[in-house]
Amino acid sequence: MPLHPFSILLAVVVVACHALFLLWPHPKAHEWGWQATLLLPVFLLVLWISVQRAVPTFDDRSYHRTRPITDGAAYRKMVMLLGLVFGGIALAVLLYAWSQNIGWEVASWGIAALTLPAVAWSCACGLASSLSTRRQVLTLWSWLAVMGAPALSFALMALIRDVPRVGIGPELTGNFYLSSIRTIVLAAVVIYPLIWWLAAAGRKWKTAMGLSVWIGALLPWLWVHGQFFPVPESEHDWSAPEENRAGHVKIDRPAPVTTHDGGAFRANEVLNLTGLRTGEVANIHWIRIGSDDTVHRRSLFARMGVGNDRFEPMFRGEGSEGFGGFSVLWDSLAARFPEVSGIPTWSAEDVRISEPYLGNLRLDGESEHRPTLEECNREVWVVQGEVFSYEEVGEVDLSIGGRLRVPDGGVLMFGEMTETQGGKELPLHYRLESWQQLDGPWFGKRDNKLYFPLPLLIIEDPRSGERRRVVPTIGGSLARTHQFLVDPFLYSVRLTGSPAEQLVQEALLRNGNARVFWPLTKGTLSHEVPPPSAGDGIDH
Amino acid sequence: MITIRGLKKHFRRTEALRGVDLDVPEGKVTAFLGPNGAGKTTTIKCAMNLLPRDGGVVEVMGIDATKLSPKQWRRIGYVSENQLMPEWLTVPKLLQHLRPLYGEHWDRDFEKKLLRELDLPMKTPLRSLSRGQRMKAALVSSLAYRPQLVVLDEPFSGLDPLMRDEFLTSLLELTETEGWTVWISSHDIEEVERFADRVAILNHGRVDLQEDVTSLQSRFRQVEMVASQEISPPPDVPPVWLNLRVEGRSAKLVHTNYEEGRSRREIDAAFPGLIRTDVRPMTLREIFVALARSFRSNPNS
Repeated sequence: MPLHPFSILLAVVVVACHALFLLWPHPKAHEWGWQATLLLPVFLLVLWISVQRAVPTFDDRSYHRTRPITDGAAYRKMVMLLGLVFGGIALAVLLYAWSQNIGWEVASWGIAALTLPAVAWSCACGLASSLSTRRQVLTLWSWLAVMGAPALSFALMALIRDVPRVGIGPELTGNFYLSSIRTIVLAAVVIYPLIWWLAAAGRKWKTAMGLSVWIGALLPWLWVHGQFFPVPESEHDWSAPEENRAGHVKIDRPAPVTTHDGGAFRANEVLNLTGLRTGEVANIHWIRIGSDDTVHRRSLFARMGVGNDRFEPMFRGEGSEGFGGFSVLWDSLAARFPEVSGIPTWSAEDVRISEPYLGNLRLDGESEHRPTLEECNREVWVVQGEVFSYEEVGEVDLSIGGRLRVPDGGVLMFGEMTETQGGKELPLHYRLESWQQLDGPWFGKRDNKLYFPLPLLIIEDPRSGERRRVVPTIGGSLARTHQFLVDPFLYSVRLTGSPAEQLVQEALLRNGNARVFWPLTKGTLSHEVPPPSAGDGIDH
Repeated sequence: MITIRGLKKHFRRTEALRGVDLDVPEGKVTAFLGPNGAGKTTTIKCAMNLLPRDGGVVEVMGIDATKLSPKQWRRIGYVSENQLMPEWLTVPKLLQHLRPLYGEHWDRDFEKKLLRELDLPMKTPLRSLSRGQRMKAALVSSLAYRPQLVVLDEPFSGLDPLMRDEFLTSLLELTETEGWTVWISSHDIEEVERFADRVAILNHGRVDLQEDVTSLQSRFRQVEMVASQEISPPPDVPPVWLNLRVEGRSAKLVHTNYEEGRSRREIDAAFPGLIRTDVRPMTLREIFVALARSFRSNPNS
């Protein structure tokens, strides 16, 4: 039996809407897309009712049943449509992933997240509508059996578990490869098509009806008890995986913390990094005070820096010299690209950029969750961070804007110059694949990307020959919006300094070309560093 | 071609078929008659495996009906009044969709001939066609592959007289020229009388009678008698007499096994003093009505 045009239209609309919301470059497109997904179950419900009506399995008036078409062939045709719809959605996700330079692991999660629950729902709808084609039984009963059983079972579970007091969350805590929601989706996506097959191809009405009720009743209980394959504790630690380790870098603590000025001290005085290669920069993100087996492990967790990632302590190569601030970045860049040295900074007033900054660690001791100075010196430090070096990724004509694919993943997009309350600025949108949206481990992996990438720009006006080196400001006037599979970052290059300087800057941003340098990860750091004079850092 | 023995079917507590025994012989047109609600459609649907049966044996083309496969369906043409057609298709699109299913069985020339004879609109979706035109479309789609068995379930239902006549004429010509085995159900006997070779009459879920039309018409007679004085009904009415009605000096009956001479003598003996006896052959419709009436007055007959 051929498909009804309405079914085809609905299938096309479902795929097209996914493609539209995924690929539409509007910053709010994904947010609207998520809102639109509220309608998806209704669309799919109508679609599968419409599809099933063309080949009503149990209806004795069925046209296809008096033709040389087996019930299995009719079912296969429906499954083929299911495959086309969700294949189309998967293709849209792949296109989106390609356009955003997203890796296959995150892209595959995106495909699974957008298709599997919808496939399960479609199969449940297909099953219910297939069962309801038996004219001798009220349509309502079939729908109640398939859709009502989970609802009734959930209500029963809520009653048994005394929800107001106990709640209805999963029984076990922690991370699982098969979390409750994944188990439910997986169970539904495997079992519903089988029951549907039993009904639509095997024409086992009673068996399919009975199984639908049982499975439907079971699913809500999987929410509570369906957690399988716990993730080992070590895997959901922040420590980076072994294979990505920058093994050539050693860390030690040359001196105890002595200065305790308002809970802060200079990082380069108490940490020493050796082994960094030319052009490499080590960025320290976290220092946990206390090793895994100490009682302070949870509570003594301190952060280096003064609250903004751009000021995290950084150490450059060529020895053990420790520095902080952007000068480290420019110096390391100059080591690879000598022509960069000597280019003026964006603004003469930009001391944060021109002067080396030394990162500080806050240790006020006022909170029980923070270590005291004594604990800090006594305990092992677990130092975590990464090593990177800058690579040139391309050049953008700022008069027309453009986008660059970043080798580490993600895209950097140059917008048009805008005027905000803080003055004129050039927005730069960076979208990095997001592991945070993955809801647990995927392909055995978790998010190990710890760093906030900080691009460096050399902007040159070809007409005037003016050149400036720029570290974009993180954040900007545009609000962050929800993006599927990516974390959006917003950088901006703002006009600062004297009016004369701003005139030059504006000319650069309007007419210049920007050479873009991007930090590429060389490896991660995760070192247990013993207290001073107790030995060298052990890479673990 | 079709053999049904002891077919039973019930819907919840209603017994629709109470042991149907029926034969649809090869090469003949078998009219399946019965009043509305007698169980004709249910019997056909059980035979075509569209409804599960509760008991009995049904064999179609030598195999059990529940095992009908595409191989058999390529040789069966089925048209029903309440079939769910793909209404959004035009006739050519419908045929285009069906052709590959029948492979070499599909006869394009015959399809064209049918389309020409049935005069169907080519550009209108089925949903916009009249009921008669839809039935014709269904007929083309079920005959173009020259099936060996044609099953028609109330094909004339709801058709206006003109359309019914056209439809019937076309069907009549086709069955005559093609020599198909046809099983056609109807509650209106006049429609099938023109071309049925055999009739089976279903009543209250049971086949009351199945016989060749010629044989049936040769033995059924309407007998009307007038006597010189008031007639009194005989004390023992022979079982071959149906619907005996006596009104004053006249009487009527249906003789179900009339033989000239012997039957006439029996009548004269049972009704003395007859001054006139008219014996005339009966149409299929009259036979059907007589049987239905007889069954109503005596369900156990």
